[in-house]
This record gives sequence, C-alpha cells and structure tokens, in this order.
Amino acid sequence: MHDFTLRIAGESGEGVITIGETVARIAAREGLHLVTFRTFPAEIKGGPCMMQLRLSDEQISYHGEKVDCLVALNQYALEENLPDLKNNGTLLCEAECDLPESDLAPTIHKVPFERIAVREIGSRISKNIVVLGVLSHLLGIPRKSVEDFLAEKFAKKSKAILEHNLRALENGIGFAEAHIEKRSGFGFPAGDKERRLLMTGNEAIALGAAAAGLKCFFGYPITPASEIMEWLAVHLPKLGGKVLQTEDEISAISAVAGASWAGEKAMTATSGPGVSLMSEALGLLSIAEIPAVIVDSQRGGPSTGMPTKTEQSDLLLAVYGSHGDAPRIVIAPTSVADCITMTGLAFYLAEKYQMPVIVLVDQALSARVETVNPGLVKNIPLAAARLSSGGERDGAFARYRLADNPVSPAAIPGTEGCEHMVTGMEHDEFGNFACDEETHTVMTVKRFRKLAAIEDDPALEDSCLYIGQGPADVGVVTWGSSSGPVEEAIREARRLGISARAIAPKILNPLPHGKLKKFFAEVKCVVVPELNFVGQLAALLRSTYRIPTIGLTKIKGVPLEPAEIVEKIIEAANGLHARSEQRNGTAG
Amino acid sequence: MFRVLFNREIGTTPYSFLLPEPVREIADYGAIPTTGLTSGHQGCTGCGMVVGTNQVLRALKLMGKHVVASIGTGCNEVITTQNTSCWGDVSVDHNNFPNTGATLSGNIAVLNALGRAGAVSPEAFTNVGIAGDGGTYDIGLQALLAWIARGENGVYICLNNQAYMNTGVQGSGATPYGTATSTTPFGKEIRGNQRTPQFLPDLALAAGVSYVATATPLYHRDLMLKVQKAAAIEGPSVVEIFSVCPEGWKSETDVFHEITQLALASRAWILYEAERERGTNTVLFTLNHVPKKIAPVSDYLELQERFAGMRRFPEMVARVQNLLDARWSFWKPVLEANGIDGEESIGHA
Repeated sequence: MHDFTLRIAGESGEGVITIGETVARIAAREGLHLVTFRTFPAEIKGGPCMMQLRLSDEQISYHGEKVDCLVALNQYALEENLPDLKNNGTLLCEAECDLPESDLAPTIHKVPFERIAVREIGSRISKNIVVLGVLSHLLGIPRKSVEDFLAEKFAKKSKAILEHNLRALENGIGFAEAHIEKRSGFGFPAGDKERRLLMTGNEAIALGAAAAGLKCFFGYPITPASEIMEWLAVHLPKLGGKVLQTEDEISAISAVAGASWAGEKAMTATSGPGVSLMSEALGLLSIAEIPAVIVDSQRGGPSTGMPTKTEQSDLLLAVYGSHGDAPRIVIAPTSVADCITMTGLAFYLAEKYQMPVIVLVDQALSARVETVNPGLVKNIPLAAARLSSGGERDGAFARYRLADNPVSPAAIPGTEGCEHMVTGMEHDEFGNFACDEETHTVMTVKRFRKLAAIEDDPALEDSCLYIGQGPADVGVVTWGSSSGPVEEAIREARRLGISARAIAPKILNPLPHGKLKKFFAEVKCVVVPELNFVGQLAALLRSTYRIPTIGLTKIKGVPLEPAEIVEKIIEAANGLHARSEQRNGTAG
Repeated sequence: MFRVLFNREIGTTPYSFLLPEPVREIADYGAIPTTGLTSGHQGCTGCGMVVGTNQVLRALKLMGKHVVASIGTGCNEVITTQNTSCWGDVSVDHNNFPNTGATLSGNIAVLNALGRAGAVSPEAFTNVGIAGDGGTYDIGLQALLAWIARGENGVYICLNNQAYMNTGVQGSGATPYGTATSTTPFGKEIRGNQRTPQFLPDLALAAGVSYVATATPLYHRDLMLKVQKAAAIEGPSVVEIFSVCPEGWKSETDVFHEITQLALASRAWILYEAERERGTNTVLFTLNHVPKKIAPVSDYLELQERFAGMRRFPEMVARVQNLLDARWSFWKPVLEANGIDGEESIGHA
C-alpha cells in the first residue's frame, strides 16, 4: 500500500477547507482512495480549523496519524500541528511564521502566501488558491486537473472571478517552480483511474435513506446532524418526498410516528440532545410497534456539551433510553460506505420488525469525506410491503395478534375492514387498553421476541467487521468510527509480532451473539477501545457475556489514534505473558 | 378591548399607564456606563445581537438592580460563554435549548423564597431571560408561553435574527417567507421558506403578557426605555429585538444602519409596544415609528442575499408586500384619524 497524508491548518474563513476539498476531488478523480478528517471551530466565524486528507492506492478507513505534508497558514496553526508532522515530512508555512523548537528535521519551505496574494493578485482571499498552486507543484498534482476543477467550481460565477483564481494558481505554481525543489517519491500515489464517489457520512446517510424509499423526513437543526436534513431538503422533493422542519425534536419523532403509521417510510436525524428529548417517543414507537428510523450523530455530551466535537457516548442511551422495557434496534456503521448501506438496512429492519431503529454515528464519521465505490445502493435490502392478511379475528382487525411470529399483521390506515388503533398504552391484540398482569407479560414478551428473531435474519449476515481471523492472543472489540483506527492498530501490532485481531459489531442491539461468542472463544483477552468515559460498549459486553474486558476510553473530542490502541494491545499482550509465566512458575 | 395610539417622535416614552411613575429618561442618567456586554464576546463582525444585548444589559443595570440572566442555547450563548467575563457582574444561568422560560421561573421562585425568608430583597434583582428566535418561536415556545401564563415578574428578551445562525443558517419559525436557508433552499421545486412566521407579540399577548414591545438597537433610547419599562411593570414582559446578522442574511458587515432603516421604512419591522391593564383587560397599543415615506419591500430585500432567489420572482415579492400591508392596516384607523394616510406620513425617516 502506498499512502500520503496531507494536513492544512489555519483560521476558519481562510479557505483551508476549500484547499482540502479541491485536493480531495482531484484525488478521487485520479482513482485514489481517500479519508479525511476536519475540525470545526466552536466559534460561529473564525477560530482555528484544519483539514487532513489521507490518500491511498488501497481501501483505507482512517485519516492517518502523522502527516507527510503540513501546510500551516499562521503561527498558531504551525505550533499546534507541527508535532504531528513525520520526521521526514515536508512543512509549508507562511513566510512570517517563526519555527518553534522541535526535534523534527522536516524539509521546510517558507512561502509568502499572503504577500503573493495581496501583491500579485490584489486580494487577500486568493491566498488559498496560491497555496493550491504551491501544493500542485510539490505533490505533483497535474496542473490541468486543478485548472479544470477551478473552472467547474466557478462555472456559475463571472469569468473575471475564474481568471482571478487561475492567476492566483499560476502565481503559486510559479513561486514553487522557482523556489521549491521537488522530492522524488513524495506526493500523490498513483490512482487506478476508477470512478469513485466522494461524500460525507451525513450525505451517505441521506443517500442511503433516499435509496431505501424514504418519503417523509422530519427534523430539527442540530450539529453535527443538520447536514442530513439539508441534503434531503434539496434532493428528497425531487424524488417525490417531503422534508418538514419541526419546532423541536419531540415534534420531529412524533411526526415520524404519524407518517410511518400512515404507511410511508419516515425518518428523523439528530444528535444526543435530540435523542434525549425523543426518549419518550422511542418508548411509544416500541410499544405501539411502529417502524421508524432515527439517526443519532453523537457529539460531546452531556447537555449542550461539545457540539462540534466527536464522542461515542450515546450507546447506552440508544440501547436503553426510554422508560419501561422498550426494545429497539441499534446499528452502527463503521465507514461512509456503511452509512449508505446500513441506513438502507435500518429501513428494512424497521419495516420488517415494526420497531424503531437507531443508526448511531458520530461527528467524526458524519463530517468526514471519504471515497465510496458507486453502486452501493444496490446492496440495500428492500422491505416487503406491510401485510394486513391474517389480522382478521372475531370480526375485527388484530393489529397486535399473538402468534408464533412475533411480528403482527399491519394494515395501512384506510384499508377496509382493517380499521384499528395503535396506542402507547399497554394493549391487547386489538389495541384495547389492558393493564392486567397477563396482557402486560405476553405483550412485553412478544415485543422482545422480535429482537430474538433478528439474529438469524440473512440481511444481517455481514453484521460484523472483522479485522484478522482465527485464534489470537489479543482480541479487540470496537464500534462505529473507532474501527478505522483499530484496523490500523491491528496491522501495526501484527507488524510488531503481536497476535491480535478485532471485531466491530455493526448491530449493537441486539448484539450478534453467535459471532461475538465465537470471537471471545478464539481470543485470550478482550480490549475495548471507544470514545466515552465509562466504557459503554465494554459495560454492555461484560453484562451480556460475563467476560472481563480491558477498556480504552478517550474523551478528548477527537478520534482514537492507532498508536494509543497499539499501546493498549501491547499492554494486554504483556499481561497475558506475565500471567502465563506466573502460572508456569506455580506449576513448576 | 384595545386602544391604539402613536407617537409623533421616533420611539417610546418613559411613560406607561401601568406605572405610577415614568421610568427615568435614559439621557437623565448622565453618562451611560460601558458595562453592558463587554469585550471578550465572540460575535461576528456586524452582529446586531451583540449591540442589542449590550443595550439590554445597560438599561437594566442603570436601574440599579442586580441582573440575573437565564439564557437559552443559541448564538448569544455561543458567543458569550467562551469568555464569560464579557457578562461583567451579571449572574448567568445557561440552560438547555427549550427551557429559557422555565429556568426564568426557577430563578424567580428562589429569589422570591429567599425574599420571604428575609435573606435577600427581591426588589434588588431583575430577572431576565434571553433567547434567540429558534429558542423562542420553535423549541422554547411552550416554556415561554407557560412562563407568561404564570404571571411572574421578569423580562424575556428574544434576539430575533430570523434563523438558526450558529449551526449554519437553518430556517426557524421566525424565518421570513421566501428566505433561502440551508433547510429551506431556493430551488426549482421549492422556492425558499414557504411559511410565514407568527408574530411573537401576538402570541405573548394571547398568553397574557403585561407588556410587550419590539425594538431595534439602531434606536437605543427606544430599546432601553422599553427594557426598563418591561422590568418595572408588574408581571411578565417580552421585548423582541431585530438582530441584523450579516452571516445568515448574507449581507455586508457595515450595512446594519441601512438594513434597519429599510426594514422600518418598508414596515418589515414595526416598532410598537402594547400594555395590558389587568383590571379592565384593556390593551393599549402604541406605534413608535411611522415612516416618513413608506418604502416598497423590494428595497429592503435588496441588501440581503438571502432574498436573492425571491427577488427574481415578482409574485413572491408581491406576496411579501401584501403581508406587510395587511399587518400595517391594523394601525391605519389611528393614523387616518390623525390625518396621516399612511403613505406620506410624519416624523423622521
């Protein structure tokens, strides 16, 4: 595998993201695989921001730890990001920056980006295009690709604006050609020229939902999930769907309940604070057995917390949140590609098992841009239409009929002879309120039997991401976006001679018991890396399987890094070693 | 029952028929302290909300009471919580998005209880709730209306910038018809926001507010007198402030003055106040600004790119014009009775 990691750091509003997105688009066109990571300032305008891109000639799922090339547009960006530059990396920084003391010996190029922009182009805001010019020379990005991209980007603007930007590009390239020597073997890996799509996790979720037949989206703006509603607001009406912004999250999920009962596929997307508000309605969807898809793009919590930072701290909320025994399905995509197929799967599961399905992602996955192979929507299983047959009993429609199959007949309102009531009160087969001990028991069992039926569903055959196979000393269990850095860590641990493998269940309620039990039988200890304080997945695993776990938790608002996972794997392996020596000692 | 008046000068007066004594004229305080919202906030260049909050806090502090603020999540919270020192000597309680009204009640209940116990003098405090339009028209509406219904003493300030600006400009319940936001994009199928906002003063009056007013930081005397009256009048009061937002309105950062003047001249923003006399349940409306010459709303739409899509469709602009005309017709009888036909009117431009 040949890969290259680039980071651009500066002030929000300086065009950092534009540079990153341009490089990303061009790389994707060259047929490279790509994963990006970007930080968002907490400020509305301004504040430090950075975008990192990792390009590779093979499929990757992590944005890279140390960077090959760092572009720092101001002193703060330089000081904050320099420690992440590889020892043999290249630094491009604004000419006026003072280099901080460092043990690193990178190749350094000080470039007067701002002066070129102001003097040669006459506008400070062209600075980012000058940067792009210098990068194009340094990384060997074909000049024509950049020019074509800019032409497309500014197609709707005046010709003068395009010429202005082309001149900035020209000046950047000119400066670089005169002052910067190219390093051989440094820059873009060669791509396979295959066409790939470039999208964020949020766009992938919206696309997956649309492909699965979403007809009604109800939502309320919340970082980092708003982009899903924004994408759908543009595209869903074209597909005959409806997007409605409600006054709050309680209203959004209640509208989903109404629309879904009325017979259309409905969804809402929010973040942790929204799920907290939706908790009561989650219980309603569960007891009333109404299909619904709820996306939770997790952010730093609790309360308003850290809206622009990532965290995986809503797992227990997703699995248990709501009063009473309220079964629901929780799934967790591990990549942007997963966001398409698993959001689609969520609709399938919701319809088939008539219950709420929560899609758990996090800010890092929602916001990251990644290359995705085209055609993934074809893998989405489509749910069969709701069937009212078999619901007739004693001249009425038994919406909650008790039978071997815990999934009852479901009629769309208005179906003649199938008039019925769905309700959040405990009810008998016909929806009549009943609070006797018998009814509450059999109905609760019925609702939980649906969860038990899910494990054998063929649609969930690929419900786990496996990294490595067979017996191993150290087994890592992780979930969601943390599986990217875990994959890198397993590769590194093996390179160091440690026997390690990993599994990331993509369905977290119900857990894939068969697959996890087999995994636990094949490994000697279990490490659980995740982005929360108490170790929520570890807690779930311990209580479900009564196994000891070694937790690795992080609450810094940023993704796990492979190095910290490797360290934990080594620690776990050494622990095994020590214990086996101890055993051998006592035996001898 | 209601009565309608208008002022010949721009802005309100220190008088209220709910107050035995007028509040003090702002100029009579002498130098106005610079300790409103002080330096350290992170508002964007050209933000109208910062100026508005500054004037609100100054007005309340001039009254000599300790200000206890309950603030809801929103732009104002985001820009004032990284350096909390910008609040000066105001005590601030940041609660969740939906809860500004409820938190206000909690604050007031404790101060009243401490007052009854003799621990503090409730008269020494002013309780103010500050929220944005999202936290008022949408998610916070239930808490606000319930707070008003409880009839407590306090001031609720809505800083209305007409969308969710701190999260990337999503439409809100206060977003004007035809506006392009990220959740109400201007496209072929749907041309921007299709809803017409409710009017907060109407909602507040229906819920039983004692005093409600609209204001703009461009006329600081008007705004500050209204806030002082709101604080002095017994019962719940609401002041809604027009908050220019260059980031979300896609306008230049230095046209705060021009945009506000055009909003007033076109009547896209009407400066008025309403007081309720509880005994007779009479509401007295006072119009605080009559444009010298009424400007067509197309002038107001001009400086803001959020309206760029709508400007291409005369039927949409006409619809907005009709809405504004209909709203203005409420004031017509009193203006005509005073010999002002509403087109060519009085006072300053």
